Amino acid sequence: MTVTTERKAATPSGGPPPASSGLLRWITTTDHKMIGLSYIFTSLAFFAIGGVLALVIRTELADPGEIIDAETYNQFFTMHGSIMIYLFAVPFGFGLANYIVPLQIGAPDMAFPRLNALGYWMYLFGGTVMVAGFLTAGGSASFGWFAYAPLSGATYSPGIGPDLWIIGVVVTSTAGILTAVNLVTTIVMLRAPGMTMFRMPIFTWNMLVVSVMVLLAFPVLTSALAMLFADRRLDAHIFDVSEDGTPVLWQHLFWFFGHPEVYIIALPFFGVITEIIPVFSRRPVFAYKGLIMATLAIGGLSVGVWAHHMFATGVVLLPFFSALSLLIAVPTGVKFFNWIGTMWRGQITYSSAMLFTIGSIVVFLLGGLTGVLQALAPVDFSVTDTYFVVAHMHYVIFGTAGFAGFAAVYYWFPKFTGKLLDERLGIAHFVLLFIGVNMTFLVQHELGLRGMPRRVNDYGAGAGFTTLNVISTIGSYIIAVAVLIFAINLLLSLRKGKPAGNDPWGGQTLEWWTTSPPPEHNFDSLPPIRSERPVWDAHHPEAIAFGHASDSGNGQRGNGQRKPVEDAP
Amino acid sequence: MRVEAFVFLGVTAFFAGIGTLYWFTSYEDAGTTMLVGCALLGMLVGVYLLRASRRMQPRPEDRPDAALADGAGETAAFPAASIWPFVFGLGATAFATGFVFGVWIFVIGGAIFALGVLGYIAESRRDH
Repeated sequence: MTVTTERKAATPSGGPPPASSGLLRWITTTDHKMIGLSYIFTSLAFFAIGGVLALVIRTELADPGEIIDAETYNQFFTMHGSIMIYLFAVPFGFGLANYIVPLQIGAPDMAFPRLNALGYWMYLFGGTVMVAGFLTAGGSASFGWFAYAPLSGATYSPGIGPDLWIIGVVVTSTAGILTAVNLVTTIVMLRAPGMTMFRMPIFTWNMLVVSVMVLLAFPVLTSALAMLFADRRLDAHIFDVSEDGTPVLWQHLFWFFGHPEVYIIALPFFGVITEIIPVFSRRPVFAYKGLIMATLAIGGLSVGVWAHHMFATGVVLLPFFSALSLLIAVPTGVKFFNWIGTMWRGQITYSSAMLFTIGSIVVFLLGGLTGVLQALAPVDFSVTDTYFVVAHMHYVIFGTAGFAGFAAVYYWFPKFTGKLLDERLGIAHFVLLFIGVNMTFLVQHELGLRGMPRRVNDYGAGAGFTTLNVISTIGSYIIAVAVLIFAINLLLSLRKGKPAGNDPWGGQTLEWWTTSPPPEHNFDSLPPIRSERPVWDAHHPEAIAFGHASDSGNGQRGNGQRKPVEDAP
Repeated sequence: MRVEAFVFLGVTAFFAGIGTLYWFTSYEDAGTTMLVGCALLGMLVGVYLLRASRRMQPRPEDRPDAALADGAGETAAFPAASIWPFVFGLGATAFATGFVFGVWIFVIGGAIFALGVLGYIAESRRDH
């Protein structure tokens, strides 16, 4: 008998008894694992919708001439961006966190299970409202995912599609705030005995930092959207220059959310990378505390660089934002150093999860380097609003939520379902995706440097953009094939996947201790927690005798206190 | 609980510093206001956690040498299943679209919203 079961068993459960299966069980669930999977599935569905929009955009751009008119094109790129940013990347990370964080800290559930469910429902309904803009007479929002005033005002964007976009983003970002509060409380209050802060897995640490960033950034977005809505519907003039309003205030408010948002997308997946590399290199993570400090530094700095998106407005303080933006490269570089240091002399297994992780590092490195370039104001002036920026941000997002997101699915799918994903399909998925992404976006740097503007649906035949655009479009179809292979792999492996067992990878953190999938109360037993990789310690009691304990986090290497496993599951 | 407190107090220290720097280099009010807001938010949570950590013994999860048995006992109540988050979320979203679609959906959405909130609260009170 162990602690965790007592915890769960001792709690009187409120509400109706859980329905056995089906729709009612899903609607009434408060189990963090089911909610986490719902988040992941829903965000992947939105990813598919956003991806189809992207394919239409790339088809339109493949050669000069119009397949869809400018207004439709505007709606498509707006909704592509909005869906991918608000409805895929962030909720996908939150879905993983919902499932994994309580398991990694040895908790029976999230701190507020019903608030957790509320967050999911608001995300689902809010996202639906945003996409429903397509069904209105005037179509959906068409002002780009950052909705600059005065373009997003009632004069230039009439109709209810834009209103639905605003409501949708407000509701989903409120859901994000609820989830962030829940994650912070869970991490502070529900850790297992011995799981000190500096023994928490890096993914959990990153989610703590992300949650704090969400609490700083999302309320600004919500209130900015409320102001925009007041301007559109209630005759306010906050962003209306004819009545002494200031349109550039919108940009300040939006990017105060928008830049932390980039790292709110990235940090969970940096966490995923840091979980996967040690396991598949058979080594403890290199410089554990350094990684945490780097994460904290990124979290802080990212909130101080918002106006580097506004260099071209001419009303921001260039040296301040340029310097801080360059500074962010330092902690990010520390992370790269740590990842490589972890792989160094490791016994690397090239499973699909590890391949996607390595792909993620490579792709994000390219996105990060062009980011450093754009932190320099003179470079930014010449490339802003060209395809160079489009290429940069797609490398960043694909490097994190794309590649590392898929890596997370390959890594944790056995825990979610008890079955392994097919490795051959996984490798095919990886190879095609890697080729596709680089083919689609590498050439866009050159297009941008040649002067192709973003967000324009057509270009002249003599502009010299055609060849590169054809390459880019072919690349985007390769990405689509890769994602299709992923979907097939999910379906096949769910039905006929090989059984995974508790710990198919030789995992280090607590989620690999329990069964796959975990029982409703998560753990029947826990190993003693004496380092940041308790499961590895429990499976390798011989290492302690040789002083190879993995406690790099607390400096208590080989203190002789460790006991073998108390009770195996 | 001290480490947790210092994470949030670190937020305060960072934004107080950077906010000061930003104000005296740019005199731009929107950004400064938001940076100060960030500093205050960190202080709200950080000071609460620091005070709590001073009032209590280190918890088992704060002690590197804690045994699993130290954490035995009931720590929190976890509701098994509940329909109310769904009703709450549906009502809140429907109510919000009332700003777009007009009064009739305000009434319907508001009714579902109110039902959801009441059910949610009543369930919480019953559990504790």
